[in-house]
Amino acid sequence: MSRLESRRTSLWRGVKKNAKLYMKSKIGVIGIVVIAFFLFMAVFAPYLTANAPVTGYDVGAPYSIPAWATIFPGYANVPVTYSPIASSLSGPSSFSGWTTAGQDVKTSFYNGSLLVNSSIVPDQKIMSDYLAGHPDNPYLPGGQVFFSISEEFQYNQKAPSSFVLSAAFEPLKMSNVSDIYINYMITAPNGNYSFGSLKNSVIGSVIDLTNTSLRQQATINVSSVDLLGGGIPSFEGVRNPTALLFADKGTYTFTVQIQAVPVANATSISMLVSGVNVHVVGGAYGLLGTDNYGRDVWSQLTWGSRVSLEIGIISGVGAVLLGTLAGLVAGYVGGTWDEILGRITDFFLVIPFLPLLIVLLLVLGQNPALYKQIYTWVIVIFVVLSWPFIGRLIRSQVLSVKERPYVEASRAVGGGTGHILRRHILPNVMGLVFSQIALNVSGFILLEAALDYLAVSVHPISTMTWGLMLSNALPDAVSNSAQSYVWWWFLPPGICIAAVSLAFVLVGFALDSIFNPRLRAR
Amino acid sequence: MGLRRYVIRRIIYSFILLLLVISFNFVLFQMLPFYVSCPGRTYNQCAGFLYYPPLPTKNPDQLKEVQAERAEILKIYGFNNTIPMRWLLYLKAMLTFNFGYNAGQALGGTVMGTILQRLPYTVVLLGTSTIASFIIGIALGVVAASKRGRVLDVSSLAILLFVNALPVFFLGAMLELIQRQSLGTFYVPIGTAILLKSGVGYVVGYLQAFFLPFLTLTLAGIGGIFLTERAVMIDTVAEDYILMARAKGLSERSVLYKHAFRNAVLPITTAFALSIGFILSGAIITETVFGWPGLGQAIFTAIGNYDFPLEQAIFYLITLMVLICVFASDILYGVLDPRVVTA
Repeated sequence: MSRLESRRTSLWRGVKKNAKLYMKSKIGVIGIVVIAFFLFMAVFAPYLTANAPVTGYDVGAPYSIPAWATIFPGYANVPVTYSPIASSLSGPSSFSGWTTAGQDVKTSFYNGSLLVNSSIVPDQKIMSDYLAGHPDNPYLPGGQVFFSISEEFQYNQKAPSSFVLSAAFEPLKMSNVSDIYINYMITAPNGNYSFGSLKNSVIGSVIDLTNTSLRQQATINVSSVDLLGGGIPSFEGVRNPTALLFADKGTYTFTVQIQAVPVANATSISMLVSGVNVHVVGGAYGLLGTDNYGRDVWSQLTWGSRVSLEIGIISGVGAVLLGTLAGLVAGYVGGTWDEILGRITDFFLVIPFLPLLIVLLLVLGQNPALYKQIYTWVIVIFVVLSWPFIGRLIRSQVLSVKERPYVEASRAVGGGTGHILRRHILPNVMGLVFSQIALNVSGFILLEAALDYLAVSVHPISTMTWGLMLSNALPDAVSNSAQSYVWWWFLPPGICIAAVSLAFVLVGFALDSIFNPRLRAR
Repeated sequence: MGLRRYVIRRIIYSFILLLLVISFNFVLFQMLPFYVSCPGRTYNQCAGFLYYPPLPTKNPDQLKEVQAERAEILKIYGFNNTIPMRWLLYLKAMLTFNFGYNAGQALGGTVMGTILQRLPYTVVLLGTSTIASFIIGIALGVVAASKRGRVLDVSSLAILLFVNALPVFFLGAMLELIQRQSLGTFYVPIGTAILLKSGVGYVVGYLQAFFLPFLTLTLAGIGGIFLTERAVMIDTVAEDYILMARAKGLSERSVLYKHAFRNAVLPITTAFALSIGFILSGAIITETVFGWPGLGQAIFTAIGNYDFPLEQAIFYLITLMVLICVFASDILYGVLDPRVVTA
């Protein structure tokens, strides 16, 4: 066995032995599990949530409670924000619940969308139909309905505060057709409401539906706001049309209707339809509700874990590595180096840490070029301000190890400095190093949250952090207003910060008790 | 080395350290945007933190007047000197406690006036909470170490570790919420009490406003002290002389509180001295959460307002205070534990 190989084996054996010892420590295992959970959250944040944490406004109503909270009696009547229909129409499976109607309609799937071909032979009544208006809604213009697709959905809660209907359309081919209307209709259990006619000229700036050469896709949204003063008879003079529309529980039908005015014989339309969505906005939303701007709290929490862990772990490891290096040199070489480390520590000890940190970040924040890498600078400042204290700790450990008999013996048989440092000093310091990393990571996570709370700019404007969430939520949480006690918003980030920092402390404790036999339970 | 030489050496060393730190403060605040941004920018952007009215460009007389006023302001803050000269003047100002005037809009008047106005609040809040957390932390630590592994030890360890892991501002807000939910009363900001100036209402209002920040700071402070004291006590109880004392047949009470405790409380003195020294830096976060008008809040506001004279003065006073306290604790330590001086 070569020398290198034997060293490797002994190292591996050491790791295995210590891992076994570690697994015996209950609190250590709990810490590792918690950290693993949040690491998973941070890495897979994009897959855990679809909403943007900062810019995703109004995914639910502002101050929505979590959807699951509706099981509690106090929140029992709060309608949940959700999409009863959310279908891409990209294939037969997503079109299975739908029904088609119209004259001579053929459906197929093309390019991830539903392709509808429809043709009609217009009769002489076209013009009179047009003047008479829409068959279902006299306030809409008339014309021939080429086809419609519809699906039923169950709605079993109190009326929502608002709703949005949307779908995307892309005309492929049209012949002998002038104006096109797209109508959305919702058939309530008690009657028929139709609305949302969009003539091609209305959306002309986005898409010219009759110009087949353009082939642009247009998403058409109709929201509850459009019902106010929209000239729809059933809602005339109604102050809250959404409440009227969703007054009953039961089976509703959502219909998308394509209506056109034929100008000659042998007319046909060929159109792609995709992304059909019915979205009702209630007072409850998702896993953790929403904040004051209707942004998804769960998405903020998952994305926020990245910042906390990134800054905490990198600066914790960096500060401890630098401190270990300084401590080894100061402790082992001693003399001038020891003196220098001591003086630097004294220097940093008498300066107030948090104010200095804030001033330094302020200086950096003024420079746009530096501000772009603000994360890096936060980490650098954390490391620079804290390594001397870690160095001091490592130094005292090195000093005590240095005087042990086996080190003296090793030196007596001709062991060089490198050999002694590597084989005798370092293994005895590693325990302290690991536990210091864990404890410092915990401290830095809390520090970063505190900076966020004080609204000191430690992050680009486009990111969300746990500290920032708390900072946003606390005024609402402790205020004396009707919106107070927003527990779903301010508890999760606080608990997450506490859990992560506690987990790192526990890991530090467990490591400490492995490498520091005096602390082992006797 | 005798105690006297030790003291003299410490004094000289502390003074050099003080000079170094306040020079560092000078350089640090030279880096603040005011200094950096001035050359290339317009007048309004440049002097915005010292002088607020916009520069009139249409009326030449008025322009001249404002520019003269600006020159006057720059002179007051000493910007008409070269940097080495400014440094010397700054050193003189610091060492003679002549701090000059506030800059910025939120805090008017002299720097010394601002500090003296804020000082009582911070000393009351930080002083009481520091002492309370040290007393409770040390007592709990000693008791927990003597009952290692029992319910009291494990539960206080778990609770204090958890409290320590909470962000201070979150802890403060939670306490505020708990107070409201359980007692039905609301947290009273200090402002309402201050308006009363005197009388029973003032005292009651002051105490009501004082209670929550005090509780927050004390709870947040106990954890670290408890953990240190517990570890030191566990180490001390394992020493030979404790075994000896037990072998002599002394009661467990006497062993723990007469022999072990006295030695186990020594290492805490340095931490206590540092805490007392840093009282002047206030508690930025807690004071901000509860709107307590102490020095911590003043530091934070001053940073936002680029009020560098105030910043420099407070940083200087903190450093001075910490040095004095560390010095005092070193001397005390030397007297209590003669090994330190002779080593």
